[in-house]
Amino acid sequence: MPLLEAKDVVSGYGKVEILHDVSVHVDEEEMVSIIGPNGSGKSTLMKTIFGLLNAWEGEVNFEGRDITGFKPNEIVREGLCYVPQESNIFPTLTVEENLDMGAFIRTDDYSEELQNVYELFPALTKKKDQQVGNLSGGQQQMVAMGSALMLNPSILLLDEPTAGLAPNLAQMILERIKDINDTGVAILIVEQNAREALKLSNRGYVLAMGKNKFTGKSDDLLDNEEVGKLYLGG
Amino acid sequence: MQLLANGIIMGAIISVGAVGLTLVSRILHFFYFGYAGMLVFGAYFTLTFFNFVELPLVVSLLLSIGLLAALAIAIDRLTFKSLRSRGTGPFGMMVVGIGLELLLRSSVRLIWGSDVMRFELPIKRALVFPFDVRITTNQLIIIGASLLLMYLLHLFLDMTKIGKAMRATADNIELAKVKGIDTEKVIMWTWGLAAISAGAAGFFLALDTRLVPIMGWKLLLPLFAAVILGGVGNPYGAVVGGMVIGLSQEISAGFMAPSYKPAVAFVIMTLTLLVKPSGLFGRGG
Repeated sequence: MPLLEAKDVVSGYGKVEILHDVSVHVDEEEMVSIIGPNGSGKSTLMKTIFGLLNAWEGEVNFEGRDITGFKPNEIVREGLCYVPQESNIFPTLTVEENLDMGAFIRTDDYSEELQNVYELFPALTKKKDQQVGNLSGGQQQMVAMGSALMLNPSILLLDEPTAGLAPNLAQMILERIKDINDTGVAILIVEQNAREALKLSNRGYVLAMGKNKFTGKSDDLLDNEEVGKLYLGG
Repeated sequence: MQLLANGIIMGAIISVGAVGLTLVSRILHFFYFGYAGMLVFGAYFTLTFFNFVELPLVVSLLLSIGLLAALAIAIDRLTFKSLRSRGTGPFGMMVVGIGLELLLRSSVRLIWGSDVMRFELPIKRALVFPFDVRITTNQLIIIGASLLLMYLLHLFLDMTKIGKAMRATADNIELAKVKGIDTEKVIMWTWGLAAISAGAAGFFLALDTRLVPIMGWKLLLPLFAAVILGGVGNPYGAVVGGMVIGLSQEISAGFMAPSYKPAVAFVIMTLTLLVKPSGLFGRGG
């Protein structure tokens, strides 16, 4: 049984259908990439899984339970955490307050998780009491991911975590994501650095025009001539 | 110097009122004109408890704030809540807000009449400070109470979980939902905080001047100016903005006709929107 499964999902904005029968699944402790050109529905799929958009058809299952139609604040209690592509931090709150908000639904002590986040991203330790809006793009991304880790999720949904970052920073963030995955957290990631993301992942999906185009083990996708030419930039 | 003192008093009143307005505006995503009605109701509730029920002044104010919070939340439940769930945009919300303001103001006339009313307090001579600055004890109380209130609001927003959630929701309501924050609950708390802010500001204004049904409407422009100057959604910015507007308005009276005071607030607001729409402490353009 997969940890997370989206089955034949149809969804979109307003009356515009973006996703036409898309299916993806993630097994426990697995890292899975979703790649594809702009407008192929990658972010739409993430938003639909997390309940920010309604699934018009199809279903979303988590740990065997049907969570289709759940609201984001209900889904977060199930053990899924989502880091949106944009506006994924509270800019006027400090680093520590952002992490507090990540742990908002917890009523127990979370100092251990807090400690873990600072160990994963040492750059944040000195900035604890600074407003996140004043930090660099890379550090903001660290705060966004750290905040999502405060709930010890069994799966993390990441929407373009390296968007707008310099290549070396992007590589560093991807490596941290792999570190997170190595601790047993499953990862579903949408990534523009498709080749790098696939290298770190177990499997991948290629979406095009809101449909499943290819799927397979990362190595197979990286070796596939057509995928390489069309979606990995040659 | 007298103008400076007057400016500080007016600034304190505007600051206290602007804190609630800035959070309501940001969290609900529109400028709520009915806030003027909240100021007036706050003042008249307090007056009723004090003049007619003859309760102590502080008790009257606290009861009035409680009543105002209940009224604000009831209004939200009856109007804005269903509009929110239907995805009504800021323009529609604002129009409903203007309608509510007319309704609230007319209700004040209906209940308490249009005549000028005052708090029945013994008249005390103003204290004379250096440079012949005259400040009444009431005005000193207004300044002191404003500082205390703003400090308490700061503690609430900075230290408590719901206070942090309120600032988080003001920053980014969609992300707040993603983090599992019950934003409807935060909105209820925001109305409660707005009631404290509006109730206190309305009462202070009434204590310093007098009560007329139009008093809230007249204070609304300086309040909006303070909110915009400080950056919408930033309670600390609203306090500074309130002080700047209060001081500018009063000091302008030194070389212009006092009737131009609202124009001063309007000019500052317009300049802010032209030069730095995100306000003094906002980021970006």
